[in-house]
Amino acid sequence: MVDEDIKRIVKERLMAMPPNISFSIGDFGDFTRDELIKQVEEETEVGKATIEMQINFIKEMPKLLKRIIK
Amino acid sequence: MSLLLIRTDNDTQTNYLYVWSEYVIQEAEKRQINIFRLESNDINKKEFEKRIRKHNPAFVFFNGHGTKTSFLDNNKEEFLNVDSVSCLKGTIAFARACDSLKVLGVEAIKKGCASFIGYKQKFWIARLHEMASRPLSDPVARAILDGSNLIASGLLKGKTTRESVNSSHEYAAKTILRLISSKDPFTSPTLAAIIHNDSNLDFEGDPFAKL
Repeated sequence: MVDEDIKRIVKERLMAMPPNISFSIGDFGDFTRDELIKQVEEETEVGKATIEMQINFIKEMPKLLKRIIK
Repeated sequence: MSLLLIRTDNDTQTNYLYVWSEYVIQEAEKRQINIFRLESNDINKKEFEKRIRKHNPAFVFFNGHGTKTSFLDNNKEEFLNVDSVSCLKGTIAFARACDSLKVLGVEAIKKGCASFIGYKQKFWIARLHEMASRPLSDPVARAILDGSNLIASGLLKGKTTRESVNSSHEYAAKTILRLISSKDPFTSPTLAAIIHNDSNLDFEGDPFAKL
């Protein structure tokens, strides 16, 4: 089970993207923004990979900024 | 010195990788490096091993779908896996593919590969729907693929494995800094993919290995 707050954050981040964006995710295939939101909602393998990607974004950002701003 | 370029094109993602590797071909041609290509439906285990034996490439650059333990051809059949990875002995390998670093990359080094560059998780490409037939004009995908091209072109320019990987990390950091302050809504998917791919990019083997 994925924490509902995490799911909400990920879905909101996806919703903020333009609707004509797609993501190609290796052999999972191609997904539109709205399809990814549905996958997150249903906690499929693709949905879990999407959550991981968005959480990675949040986790990595401070490290990246530290690397840039020396 | 020679490059064995392997590139599949069985779906949108691999088509993007296929066309973006053209820039690497241009770099190799500029440096008069011999390029041997194994592409599309010609890719299979037999042909791959034949090209390795015949051309003895210093650099193997794979573009396509990967798993933790294998590279896949256009029919999603394995043409290289942990059992046959000794084929990469003596080469520098770069897998622009999902997942292959952790297991396949580690095994490749155990079997004599000089260095293996790859990704620990899925390789994400953010893109615009309407650009699917014109990947080179896709502004959303550009920075994602330019960053990974830097690894291959760095090696071709004589950089070490570590320097080539670091040049991609530096490009990602600069791109993130540029995009993060943008008000353009199309930068957000690019940013997410770059950060994910960059944090999963690494190498196994000799950091000083170079062509």
